[in-house]
Amino acid sequence: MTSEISLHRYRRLWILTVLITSVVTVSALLVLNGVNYHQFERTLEAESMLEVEVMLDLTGQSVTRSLDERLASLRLLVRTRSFDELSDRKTLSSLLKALRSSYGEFAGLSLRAGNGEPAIAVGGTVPDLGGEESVGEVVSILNEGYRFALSVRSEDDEGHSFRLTAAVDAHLLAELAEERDEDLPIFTFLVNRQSVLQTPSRYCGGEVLEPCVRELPRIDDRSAVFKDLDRDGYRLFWGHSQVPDSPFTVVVLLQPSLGARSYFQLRGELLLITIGSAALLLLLNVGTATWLILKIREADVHQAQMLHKAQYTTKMASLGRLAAGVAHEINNPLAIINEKAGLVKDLAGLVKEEFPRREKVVANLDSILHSVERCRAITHRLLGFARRMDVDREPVMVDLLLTQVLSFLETEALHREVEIVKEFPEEQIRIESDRGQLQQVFLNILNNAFEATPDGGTISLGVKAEGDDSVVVTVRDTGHGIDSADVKHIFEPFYTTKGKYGTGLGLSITYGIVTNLGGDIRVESELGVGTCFTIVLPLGPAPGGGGGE
Amino acid sequence: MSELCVLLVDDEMELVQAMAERLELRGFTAVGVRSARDALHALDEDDFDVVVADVRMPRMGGIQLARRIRRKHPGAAVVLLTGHGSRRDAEEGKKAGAMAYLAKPIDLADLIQVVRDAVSAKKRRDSS
Repeated sequence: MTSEISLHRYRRLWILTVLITSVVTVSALLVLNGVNYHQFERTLEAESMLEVEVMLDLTGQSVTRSLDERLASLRLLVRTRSFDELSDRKTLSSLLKALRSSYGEFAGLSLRAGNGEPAIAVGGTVPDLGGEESVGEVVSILNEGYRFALSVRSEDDEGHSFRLTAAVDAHLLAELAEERDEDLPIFTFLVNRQSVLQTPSRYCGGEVLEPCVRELPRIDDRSAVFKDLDRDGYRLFWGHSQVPDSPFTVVVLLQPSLGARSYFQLRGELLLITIGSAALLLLLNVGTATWLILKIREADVHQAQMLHKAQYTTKMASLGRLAAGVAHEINNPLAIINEKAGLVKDLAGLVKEEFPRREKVVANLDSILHSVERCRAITHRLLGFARRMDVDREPVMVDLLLTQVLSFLETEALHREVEIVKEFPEEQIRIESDRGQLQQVFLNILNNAFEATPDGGTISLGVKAEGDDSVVVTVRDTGHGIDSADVKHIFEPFYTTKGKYGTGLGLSITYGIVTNLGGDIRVESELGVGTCFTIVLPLGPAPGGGGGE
Repeated sequence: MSELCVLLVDDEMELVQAMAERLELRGFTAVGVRSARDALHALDEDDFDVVVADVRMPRMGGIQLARRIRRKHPGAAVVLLTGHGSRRDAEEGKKAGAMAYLAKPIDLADLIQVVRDAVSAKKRRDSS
């Protein structure tokens, strides 16, 4: 149906508008936020790498410095004393004491002659350190804990070559590589060349000398910072750097996925903002599209009404001219028939003598005159209808107007045996209104009622006053009724239940006219039972104004 | 007493003749002419109490004729006949000096009544 296509058109337009605006705005938002997110990721990555690098440098430097300091002290000892002096247990013990008081973590000292045989040892067990190494790996010493060795070689003035080795508590390394803030997702620890832990590590979940329970990257002599993915697919930033002249490698790991605050929360917030903005945009798009489509529809309705009004005015003007022309053309010969028949009747009356069939002649003449009278009534009604189209507000007797409009359909009612029931008040109700427009309203409603009512049906017309200021006109038919889904749209333009035979404008114009006249129109319908149109009209501004029917 | 003298003007001569005849049967003096020009000639020749003219006629219509009669023959009352029945014609006819306005086809009794009323109204107006 035309009307449904029309309603679909607005619905389709609405959907299209919402879709287009949503796609444009939301994709712009997504692109913008995507770019932002990407930049944020890059910045975060750069910052993480830098953080790892800084941590690597700091830890590496402090380990190097600590080892150098302690080696320097040992060197000073061997350079300022002869092998014989150092071989004195007392002297060596006092030196260990002095070292302990300066650094604390020195656990023992051992002196070996150049041939490698141990000369003397004081304090705790001192791990062996072969070759030319000056710093040894951490080893476990029964009952004494973890130690690593620092060794210096010297030769005194008497030509004795010897080597002083110190056992240093591995706590020193643990302190140097100590993770400063346990809340930060950054791990620092030392490993040897075989990736065995030299300091405890939260990340590896192990103590010194235990293998790391998690997978470590391949560590070589070079310093490097790189990114990797963990088992769950989260990013990791690794860094490792060899402590010079030692078996130690500093390992730094930054795991942003553990730092909920700095990384995931930000990413979550960004996602939340994106979703929120998209929802807001969608809401705005729907609102704007709805408002826009309603405005367009309103404009279309207004345009259709104006168009129809213009068409109606033109049609009525043409109809008026046609009616006037036809009436004039018919009235003239009608007048001649009237006068000629009248004259014949007059002349017949003048004849004194009886002539055959006088009564029949007079009866026929009366019949002609009566027919002329009927024709006259028709042409005058036609003229009256056409003439009244251009009149604005004037006093109107509602029941008379309804009867007058009904007279156009009386023949149809007669032929189709449609019973017309009038329930009019005894006292006529006069309103101030536009007669022509009211005629159109009544004609539209009555035409619809006649179309809906089957042969032998009933159309009831009612007029009654409502309160002091309005009159209610009801037109009830026993037609096929209107579906409740159609009733809701019945006053909408282009909505028709008559298929290709209806324009869908009649009732919308009727509605427009009634509301323009300050009235209201309602419809109640039940399928198979019938339809009732109720028109409420105001009595008008000047109930005391003169002139009647 | 002599009845009124009526001049009937209509391009439909059949109508004019029938009406004239019927009026004469009722004691009027009735003359029928087919145009406004003929009507003016007739008015120049004779006095008429009332002129009954059709509004729409070729060349000169009833309203124009009424204006001329008001100027040249102010003694004659004018009744207009129309097959059209337009409100504007009625108003213009009244302005042109017509005393009454009747729609065709007319009832002769109505015409006679209107003619009599028009003549007496005319006389009242002229004397006041």
